[in-house]
Amino acid sequence: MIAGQRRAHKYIWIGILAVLPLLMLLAVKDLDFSTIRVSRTSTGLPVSVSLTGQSISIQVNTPFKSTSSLVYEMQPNGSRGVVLGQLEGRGTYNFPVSEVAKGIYVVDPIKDVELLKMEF
Amino acid sequence: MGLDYKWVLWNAHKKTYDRLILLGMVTYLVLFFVLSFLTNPEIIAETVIIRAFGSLAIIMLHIILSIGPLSRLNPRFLPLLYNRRHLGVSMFLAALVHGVFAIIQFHALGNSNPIVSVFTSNMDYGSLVNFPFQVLGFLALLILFTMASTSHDFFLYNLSPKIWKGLHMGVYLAYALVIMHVFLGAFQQDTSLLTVLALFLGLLTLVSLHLKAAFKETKIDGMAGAKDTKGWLAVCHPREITESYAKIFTVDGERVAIFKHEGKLSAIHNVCKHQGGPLGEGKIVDGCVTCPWHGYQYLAHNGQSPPPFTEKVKTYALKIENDMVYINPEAFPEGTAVTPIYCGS
Repeated sequence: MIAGQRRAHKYIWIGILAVLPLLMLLAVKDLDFSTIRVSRTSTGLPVSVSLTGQSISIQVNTPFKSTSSLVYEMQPNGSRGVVLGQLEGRGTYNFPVSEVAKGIYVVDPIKDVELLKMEF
Repeated sequence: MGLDYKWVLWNAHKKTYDRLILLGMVTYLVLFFVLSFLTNPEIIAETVIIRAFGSLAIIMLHIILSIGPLSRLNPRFLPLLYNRRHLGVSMFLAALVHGVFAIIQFHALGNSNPIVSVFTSNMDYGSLVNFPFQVLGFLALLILFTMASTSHDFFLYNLSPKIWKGLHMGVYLAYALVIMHVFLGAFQQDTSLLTVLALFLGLLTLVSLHLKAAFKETKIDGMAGAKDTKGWLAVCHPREITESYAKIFTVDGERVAIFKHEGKLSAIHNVCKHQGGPLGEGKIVDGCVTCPWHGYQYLAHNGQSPPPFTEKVKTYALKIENDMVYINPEAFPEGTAVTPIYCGS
């Protein structure tokens, strides 16, 4: 390399060192890296549930036979809280949950039947 | 070094390295696919393809970016530098598969042009964490495409080495775009401390290597010998230069290589006309100075490539006084013949 190119290389990498780590930190500073708090799995259940920080991951192994299956957050007093989302076929579903969530309910809203109750 | 252009410049060494590149890529992809389906049987093939090729391209980009400084810090890495272009094109192909599948998967099913959709599906350009990260990846892919498509010696010769090198320094911008593409995209959706730390470690390694090599070069650039009354620069004793090898000196900000061949000294500009390789780190093979990067050759006494090749570098006048080698900092025009000076050892 000629002298100008050597200088350019040096200043480019000083620039990268000054800017890129800062942007990387800003991008991940609010992410939740906490490990799995609770994991519930059983061969007898149609779903496996993992609670990680403030998000819940529901793995549907066997689809519910109900027409519709809503997931509710279980409040500290055991009552149904907000609707987290809907389960359809097999797959993994991720929903945000509040810090005080005690568990989940899976409910058929049409028949108003409780399909599953799981406490963390 | 060849007289005509070929689509791919292959020789025994390059074929061996290319096989290793292919083997490494296939092994990584197979492992990624097997582990992905073992740990998550529900995952769809398109998702695994996007992740596998994307992560492969990032790993290859880190390797590519580390080869340059490693070669400047330790000549044992020079064979990797010799084969870096094929690795770069392979990395682009991996990134292209990632990009094409991602665009098809996420942008091809709407009613707007998929490329337009990359830029308009998320208009939160004022935000950092919600920034449309796919735009960053798309721009990085464009840079990598430009580099891969101009990597052939045809473009190097016709664009001039200076413009070509400047163009290919765009890889640093592509690297920054790729890193932010991952941090604002994949890491926001699938948070893993391990992968975040791995990319931080990758950045730290690359920055350390490049800055260590850069400061080593700066130190060499700052070395200045004593000048005699006529402005000639004292550089070394004749015996300090090994037969068939060179010592490199900085003369008025530029590097000059003084070679010893058959007991005689000749000085030429240290920068190879091909890709700027350090001629002084090469040796004399078959009577010619041979660049350690790609094997380009020059005659030490006139800085010209042996016929029928036409490359030329600057030459310098030398003299020996009181067992000290002196160099005239005023370079002769490229290809000027200078009588080598006999140094007796």
